[in-house]
Amino acid sequence: MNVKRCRGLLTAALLASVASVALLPVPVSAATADQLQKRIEALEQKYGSMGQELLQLKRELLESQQKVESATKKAVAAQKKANQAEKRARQATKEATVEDNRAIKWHLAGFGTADYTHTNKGTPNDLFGASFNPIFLVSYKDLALFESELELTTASDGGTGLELEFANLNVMATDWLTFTAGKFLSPIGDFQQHLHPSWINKLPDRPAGFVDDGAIPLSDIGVMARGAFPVGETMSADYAVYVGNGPQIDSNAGVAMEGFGGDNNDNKAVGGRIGFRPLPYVNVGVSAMTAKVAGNAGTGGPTPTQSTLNVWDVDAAFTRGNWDIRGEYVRLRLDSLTSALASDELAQFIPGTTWHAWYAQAAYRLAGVTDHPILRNFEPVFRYSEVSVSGFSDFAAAEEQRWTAGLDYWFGPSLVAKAAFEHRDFNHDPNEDVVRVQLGFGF
Amino acid sequence: MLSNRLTTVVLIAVAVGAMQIAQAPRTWAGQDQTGTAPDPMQIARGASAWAGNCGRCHNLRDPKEFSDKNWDVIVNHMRAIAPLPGEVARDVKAFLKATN
Repeated sequence: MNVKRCRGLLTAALLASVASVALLPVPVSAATADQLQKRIEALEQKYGSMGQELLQLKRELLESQQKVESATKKAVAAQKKANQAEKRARQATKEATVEDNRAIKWHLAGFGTADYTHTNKGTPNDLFGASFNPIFLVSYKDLALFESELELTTASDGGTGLELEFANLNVMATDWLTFTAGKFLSPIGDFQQHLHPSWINKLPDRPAGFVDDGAIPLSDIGVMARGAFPVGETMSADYAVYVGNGPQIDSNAGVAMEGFGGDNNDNKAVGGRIGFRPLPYVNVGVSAMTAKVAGNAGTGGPTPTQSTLNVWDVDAAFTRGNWDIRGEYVRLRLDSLTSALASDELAQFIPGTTWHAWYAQAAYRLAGVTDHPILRNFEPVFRYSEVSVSGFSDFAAAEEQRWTAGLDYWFGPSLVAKAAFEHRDFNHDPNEDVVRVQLGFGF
Repeated sequence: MLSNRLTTVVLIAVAVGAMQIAQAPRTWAGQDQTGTAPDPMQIARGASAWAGNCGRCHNLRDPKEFSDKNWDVIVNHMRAIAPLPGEVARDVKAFLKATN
């Protein structure tokens, strides 16, 4: 037992001595200390750069946060603007809808013209001119329409010509019947009523005889019934019947056929036109008018006696594809009367006289033969027109055969430049060659 | 003699007009169609009528040249002066408004 105890004590003492040796400070060499010093410095350097990187990251984070805040503000502002725009758009749509639904709607239409004329007769033989034809339209639902056209023209004396071309009220009684009252373009024939505006007429001037003091009535003041209706599945017809103040004998014993605000013989003119379209691109029409016509007491001259005036007219048109072919014939008969030819002359017997005027015109749009963006807009036009007179010899001065060749360039459907050469062969006067250039714009 | 024949022509024309009054569809043009959804068939009929009637006298105008309101007035003007049947005028309006 004691031996065991002694052995244990001895072991414990041995272990204690070993441990005491192990725990004693170990002596460090100078080289090792230097290495440790370098490592410590490297670690300090690394720590310092990490700190700077951390500061940089913090700055960038701050900038990013600021950018996010700024973007958020912008987004909010944009959203606000979008909301305002949407509100305005809704308001505009509402207003537009209200505008479209208004019972009374109006529109200012019309056409303007600028032209140049060179002739080998007369002085001056070079002329510039211009005209403006505003057309004011006011509609009440689809029930009534008021329409009025003024014509303003440049005059040779430096003034401005002003005429009321038409001013009338239309009541659309049924789909096939419209009543018209006021001053209206004459429905006799096709040219005067439908084709004379400068953006529609394919040549710069009117055909011979289809002019002021020519062979066709230009306008009248009265009442008219007109309309159109289908005939079968594909055909249609149209009609116009009117009663108006009618033409009057002018100071030269001729006939003035513009609408007069008065009626100097208490006799109304009656006329009308019936049109028929057997095919969508073929249109034919027959017109007639009759009236008792009288002259007005001139300044010192004798008052013409009353006479009878009758007008017949036939028109036809073929408008298919790029072709536009049309023509019209008018016959005007004025029975005999007694009249002076000037205010300072005595009255004389004027025998019954008949005017014949007609024209034939063909035009072809080059779009039918080429796709070239410029060439396709050209349209060559040719027209022959003629006036012949039988009866009173003084009226025969109007006799003429006229050849016109023109070339149009269409900038748009209603914007055209026209150039034309015209040869006028007068029966009783020297012939005349005319060059005409015209710009026409319908709006 | 000629005057008598002319009078006869005019009377016939008046009679034709009177018949149209009697036979015309009872859809008075004063019934404004604005606000109703356009019928595709009406637009198709209008396109055909636009090409067939407007080109009779002048070049076809681009539907985009005018607003709905303007076309309403312009087509009414053409209905009176061309003239066009009321139902055709409404078809043309539907086409122009659908394509402007």
